[in-house]
Amino acid sequence: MRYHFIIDLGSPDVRRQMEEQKGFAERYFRGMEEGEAILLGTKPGLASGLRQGHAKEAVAAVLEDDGAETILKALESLVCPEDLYLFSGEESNAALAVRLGVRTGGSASNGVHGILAGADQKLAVKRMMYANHMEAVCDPGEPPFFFTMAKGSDRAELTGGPFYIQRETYTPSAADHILSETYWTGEEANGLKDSPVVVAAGRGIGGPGGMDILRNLAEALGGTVGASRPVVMNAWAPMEELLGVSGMFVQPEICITAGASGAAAFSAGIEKSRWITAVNKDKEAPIMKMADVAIAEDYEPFVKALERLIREEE
Amino acid sequence: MAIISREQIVEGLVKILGQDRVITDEKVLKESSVDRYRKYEQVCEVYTQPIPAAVVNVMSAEEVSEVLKFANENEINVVPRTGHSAIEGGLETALKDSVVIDGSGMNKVLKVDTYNMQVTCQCGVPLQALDDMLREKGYTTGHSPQSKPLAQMGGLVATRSIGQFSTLYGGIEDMIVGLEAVFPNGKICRIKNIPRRAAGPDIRHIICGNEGAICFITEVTMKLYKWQPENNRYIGYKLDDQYMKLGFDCLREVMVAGYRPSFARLYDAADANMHFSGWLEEGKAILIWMAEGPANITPAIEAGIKEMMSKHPELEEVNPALIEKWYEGLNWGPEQIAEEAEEIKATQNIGITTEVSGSWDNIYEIYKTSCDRILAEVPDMTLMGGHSSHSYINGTNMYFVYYYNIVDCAPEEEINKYHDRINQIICEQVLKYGGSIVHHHGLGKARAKYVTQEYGSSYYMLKTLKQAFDPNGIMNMGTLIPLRK
Amino acid sequence: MRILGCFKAVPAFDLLREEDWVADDRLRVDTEYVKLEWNCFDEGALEMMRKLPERSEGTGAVFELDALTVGKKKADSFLKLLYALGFSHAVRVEAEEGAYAPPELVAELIAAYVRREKEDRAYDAVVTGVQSADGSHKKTPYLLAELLHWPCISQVISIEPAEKGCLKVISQVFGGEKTQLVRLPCVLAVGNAPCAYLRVPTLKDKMRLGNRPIEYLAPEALLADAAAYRDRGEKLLGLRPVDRSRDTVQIEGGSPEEKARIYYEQYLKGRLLKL
Repeated sequence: MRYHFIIDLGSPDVRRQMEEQKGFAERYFRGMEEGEAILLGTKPGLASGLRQGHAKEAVAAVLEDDGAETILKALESLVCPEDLYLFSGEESNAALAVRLGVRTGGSASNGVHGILAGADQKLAVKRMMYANHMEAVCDPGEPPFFFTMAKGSDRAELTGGPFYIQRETYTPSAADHILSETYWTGEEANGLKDSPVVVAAGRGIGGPGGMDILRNLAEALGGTVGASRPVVMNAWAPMEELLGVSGMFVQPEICITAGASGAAAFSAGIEKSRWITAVNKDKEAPIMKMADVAIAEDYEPFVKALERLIREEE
Repeated sequence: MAIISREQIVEGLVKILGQDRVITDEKVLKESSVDRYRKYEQVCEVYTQPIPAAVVNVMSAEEVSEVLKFANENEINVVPRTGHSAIEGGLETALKDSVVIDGSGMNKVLKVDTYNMQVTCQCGVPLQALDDMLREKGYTTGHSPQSKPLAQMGGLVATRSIGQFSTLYGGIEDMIVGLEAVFPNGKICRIKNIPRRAAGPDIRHIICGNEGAICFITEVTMKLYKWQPENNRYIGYKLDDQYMKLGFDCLREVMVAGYRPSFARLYDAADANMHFSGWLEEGKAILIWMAEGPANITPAIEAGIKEMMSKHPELEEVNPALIEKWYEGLNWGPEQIAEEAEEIKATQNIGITTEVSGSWDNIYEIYKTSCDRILAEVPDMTLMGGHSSHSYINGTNMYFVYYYNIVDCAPEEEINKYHDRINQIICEQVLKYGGSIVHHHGLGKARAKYVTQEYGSSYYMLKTLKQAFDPNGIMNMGTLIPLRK
Repeated sequence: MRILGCFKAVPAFDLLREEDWVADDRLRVDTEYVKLEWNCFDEGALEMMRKLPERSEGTGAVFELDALTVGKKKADSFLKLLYALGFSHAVRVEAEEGAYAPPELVAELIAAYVRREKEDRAYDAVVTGVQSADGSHKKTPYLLAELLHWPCISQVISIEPAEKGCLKVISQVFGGEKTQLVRLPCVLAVGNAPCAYLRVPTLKDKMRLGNRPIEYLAPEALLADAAAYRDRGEKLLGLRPVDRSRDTVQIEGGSPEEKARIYYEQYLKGRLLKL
């Protein structure tokens, strides 16, 4: 069995997706032979602009349009019945994986965050069930396999050169059902919702000046600030930055809280963060138990020192 | 109304507290002009109440005293506030150029005294944080209102709040020991912490339930109890909705027999469906008790209740594990509130509650006739029901729960078209049958208009109290005593 | 235009206690005691359908909306609610007590039901959510599209009336939105739609419309070999709860600057590099 990446080069964050796929392969496909990647796009010579790929060889599948039906038609003819195909975690890929599974007599699993190889060499996938409350191990079925990854997988750096394009295929449109189409690029709000790093302020920051200190840290981290209700109600931060009950629920990779005590109204807004650091003078504050790392300290000198260290590194 | 300008008010406050603690941001002021009584206006971000001149953050009783003196001299209406979870309009700034005094920054637990079994804290201590901290040490205040994730001690005392375990621990009036409060003339009064005294009237009750219309509460001492949830016992029965009268009688039977479960509840079918639909059939009402306390007492309460209930063929016992699971999954909290606002916006469907009380001989009539009248007289109702959740030897409460669609109605009209109309029907029925129109949310401004009917001849006492302590009329005007229009 | 909305009523998982998240020996979690709620994506799908008639007022377009669920008796109250909201026909395919219906079976059942309606009664579209909260397979709408040989649009966030035989569909794609005029038939899989809450019928509408009979079907009535599909698809080998507790590390040190250095070097730096 070989593994293949399938990647849409028209996607705005192709690089991140490639890094995630590569990271996944390094962890779970060790000892498995790498097959050619399948690159999707609507322009001939679509991979020519890429200086780095995440596989040595690739097939470029040029499509007349980027609709699901056309992509499926293109992929159908490229699938080897023994192999495994990995899609990135973009939501729309689930449809492709499942439908390809049906068309090729294979199997699909979505939101896969790990793969186990059984004693009998059979694959088993790990994915979440019950609204993320339980982790399941599943036998996916028979090959060919079509897996979509879980969102936010760990990435691996791209180290190789550009793809060696074995061949290019062309697929005419299969989107007879689409009579017209317009595309709209969403505008970013303040980025708080999707920011990978959030610096969250609580009442303990003491005043609008404290917000500036945290904004500087957020900037150094490439992140965004949020604030608890008392902070916003004190007009130290604008309403748009409100986290929790009446504001936003965020789940960044890294969340650093400063001067927040951990009132339920606030902590609900950040508790899904992947990794939480709490800075608070009071060692007993409830937030300290919610955090992965707790620092019992006055936030101001700590945050300022931290910001200096990050900037020095740059 | 203030005798100085809005600008002068802000200036004067800045002089007392400094710039940082006087908030004049427009959005904050708008948010501070209402509470959850005007939930729909809030969701629609339409503000119909006068916008306050400032919100001030106070950090000590002395600061409260200074601010009140300033307000008293200049006849500025002030609204005391801590957790901002009020739902009967008590925190609305009904007069022009009001000042909201926010005590939520006074959030220190001052003393946990496990020998004398009492805990002293400042007004801004969140109840959730306090009780979580106490439970870790094996204690509890016994106070567990649904507003627990939001409410803070000052507001809880000011509104005479009550919690889910009141049948055992009582309302907050039974839990408070001593208090500290500041009066409009700046006088700071402390009532010392003692188990009981007979030195005149119990003046704590001038403070407890004053709803910010008499004084500002700065410190509270509460009794402590042992936290021993491992002994809890759960008892439940389902019954057809038509037997609600029998349901009330069952609640009564247990109280009269002398048992003190920590909660005793009766849900009608409409309300029960929202909580128990996982296993309770449609059209079924439900009776629930929980026994709490020492290990040798709770089984006895359980056995006693079961024996009494076994005599009613209309009741069918429910697996206590189901009740226990429901009880422990009762995690009403911030997420629900956040979600609620989104849901209201999307569906234009809103849920409101009104709590009243009655004696055993009139509570059923209050419940039944209110529901019937609302369904007949108010349009667009999507749910009408309720539960009894606090029982006493001589009666119980009724917590009406109702949902309606807001149809062809501007946000500022909603209160008149629906909410107040329903409130009015409930109050009329309660007064007709001789109950109380307020069980535990406070009169606020929403129900202040019924105060003379609620009090009857004793209104004289309430009015005299207000006039004596607040002669200039600066304390949360419109609350308790309605504004003259 | 005839549209079938397919939904699932799922247990309100947030009401489960932490310690109740355990798998039994059949690799299932006992959720029987918590109330059911709309699967959120399906709720969005049904609400989009419900709005179609009022959105097409004056255009002469007529929408007939039906709803189908594969579920147990408890799901009836959801179907009644849809009747009260103006749906024309409600169907419940009886789910076997205690058995899990995999997406492979559910899709076959829906496909069989859709195929049953022919010619001028044929369905023009099936609308459903992209995934259910319990199984989280993200499969049913896509399997259905393959079975019916219909195209499928996923991550739908809005459906609007359009010219005859078409719908205007807005779907989320990476980095933006696509608005398409879609010729039917088509399967529409609804994703993260804003305002995905169903309207609430009044008590009067419930009395007036909510008590119409629900059509009950045994799986075998639609699919002779239904039982054979029970074991299709992914086979569960293990199920375990996710440990969410955080083992808090306290950073000790002298000055704030020292703590900042320890924190940065030992904890933060590596994580920042991974972003």
